[in-house]
Amino acid sequence: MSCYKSVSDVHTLKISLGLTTSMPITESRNYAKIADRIGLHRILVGEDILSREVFTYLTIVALQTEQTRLATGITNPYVRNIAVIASSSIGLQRISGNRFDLGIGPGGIPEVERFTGRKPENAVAVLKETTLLLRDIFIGKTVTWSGIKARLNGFRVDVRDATPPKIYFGVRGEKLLALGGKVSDGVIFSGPKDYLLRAKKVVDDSAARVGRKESEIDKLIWNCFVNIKSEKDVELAKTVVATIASSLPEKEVEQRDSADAIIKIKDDFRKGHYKEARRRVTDDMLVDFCFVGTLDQIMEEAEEFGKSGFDEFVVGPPFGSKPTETIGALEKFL
Amino acid sequence: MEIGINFNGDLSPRHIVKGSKISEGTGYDCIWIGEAAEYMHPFPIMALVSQETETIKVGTGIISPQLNRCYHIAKAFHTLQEVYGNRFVVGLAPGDYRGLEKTGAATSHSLKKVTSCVMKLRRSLSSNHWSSANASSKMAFEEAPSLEMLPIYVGASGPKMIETGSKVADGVLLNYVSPEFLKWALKFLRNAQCRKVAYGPALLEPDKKNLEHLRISAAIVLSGANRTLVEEFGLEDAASEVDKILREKQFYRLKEYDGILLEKFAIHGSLHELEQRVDEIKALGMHHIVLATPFCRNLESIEKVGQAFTK
Repeated sequence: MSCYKSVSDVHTLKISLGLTTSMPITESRNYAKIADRIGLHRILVGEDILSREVFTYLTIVALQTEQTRLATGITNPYVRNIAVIASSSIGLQRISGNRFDLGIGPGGIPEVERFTGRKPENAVAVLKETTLLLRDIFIGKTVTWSGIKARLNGFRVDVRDATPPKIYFGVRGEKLLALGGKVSDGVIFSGPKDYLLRAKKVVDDSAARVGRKESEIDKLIWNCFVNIKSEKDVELAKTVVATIASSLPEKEVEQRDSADAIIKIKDDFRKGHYKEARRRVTDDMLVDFCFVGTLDQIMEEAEEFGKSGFDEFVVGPPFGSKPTETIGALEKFL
Repeated sequence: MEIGINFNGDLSPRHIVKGSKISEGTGYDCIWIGEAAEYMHPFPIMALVSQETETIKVGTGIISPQLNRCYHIAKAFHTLQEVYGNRFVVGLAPGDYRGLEKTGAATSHSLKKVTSCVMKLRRSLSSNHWSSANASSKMAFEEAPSLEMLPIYVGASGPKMIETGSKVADGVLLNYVSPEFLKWALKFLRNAQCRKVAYGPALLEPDKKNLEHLRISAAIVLSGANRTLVEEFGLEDAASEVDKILREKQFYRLKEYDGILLEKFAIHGSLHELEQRVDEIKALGMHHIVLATPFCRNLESIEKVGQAFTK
């Protein structure tokens, strides 16, 4: 694990591309090629639990690119055996030529609940256990462990030629953020903009308590991003805002003016009523949760977050009505 | 009879790509990617192989529903098919129990789990709809092509799995390459339309470098072989000893069992000897033979056998 960043990295905001497995893979392959050609730092793929398989998806993306780093952003440790996460990660790492990092998190709670029939519990303990075990597995250790979720008995993975992937957290909520500060290599933040700064502070404070430097933990922002050109773009943004709101921690919900709407959105998601959830998203919520505006306006706003200590800005869906054009236009900000 | 080749995640991606290209170029019919939890997972490898080849079929041979959620298996095939078209084959089996135990995956109810996975895959592949005891969801990628035609095979070595697999799946991957074992296994088929595949360790000789790999691969098959077969052919002592050797990793001792391991649980020899064995297997009415690891380790062998068998 790298501990220190060079001086030249300080306040240099990296720009990355975010994709999700609900996006047709044939489109994502094209976006990935553009990202690689113009020199975006990384491509993150978020796993929509009810859609395509993320490690397959990300490998297909990896095979279209040569330079750009890759990461899951995120996949959920509740839905796979840890051995499968490990062997998939190492496969992807070797095939991509050591460009892969693993983003994990308990996100998509309503989907996990619908999918497994159980609400993900003990998220802090499960994420900690998963991280510490994977870290050992990724350096080739033989692991025996009987814990909350993982049961390993002399398990090891052949890690020849594979650099250990960094482990990033995609989490919300103070306990999980604090855990990120203690044990992760990076945190992917998403949520209302005022929350992002508070969340970063939780991570930094927690890191400091265990003697880690702020710079040891990569900090990525991945919010809804829409290059607004038409009303259609606004509707796209609302869909994503509804998704983010659906997994906002209760404590964060209570603090917001839009608390009533968010509670109803959460309920809609539990029932699978996604269209209704989208209709509840107001313009204020849009600005609060999303990076919206012209590309220049958005990147200016992102730069402010860079000055606040965030390392990486993820330009993710829905992009706007012309994703290819928008992604290509990022070149001038690099 | 079709010829298939098996690659596992123990080889480097570069070797797998080279081997896959040679396999396609020399006319093999299918590349089967095996799963062993300690090596690269089949999904990334399948994407790699599909990307680097054009028309050859690509399958899991096998992937375990004990270790992987059946839903993820369905999703992976949907994802691959969306990009690379209709050239995939699903091979399901419980997998190696010793390996499963290391991962904490359940080893019980394997027949039920495999059967259930076949049924779920069938439903989800034809409708993009997933339903199970826990969840009923429309998969969120309706634009993906339907996989109704995706063939599903069940890997089997014992009477119950062979019988059930032949009833619920399109074919069975019989984990045997010895004609006498295959004859025994074929008795349990319950569906004449079912496609029959012989699947076992193979090596074109001379290949001293990979001979020990052949012994180990054959030993893994014997140690995990179905109890009924082991008793039927009086292999109890050998199976028990070989299992002990594998657990203790004293692989050099496997040589003592060459008579059983290499002759009964593997195909090996010169090109002519391999051809003879393949002809014997073909005569049993098998549709496909998979030359399993360590055959794939030798790129020259892949080419020679491909040229000879597919001309």
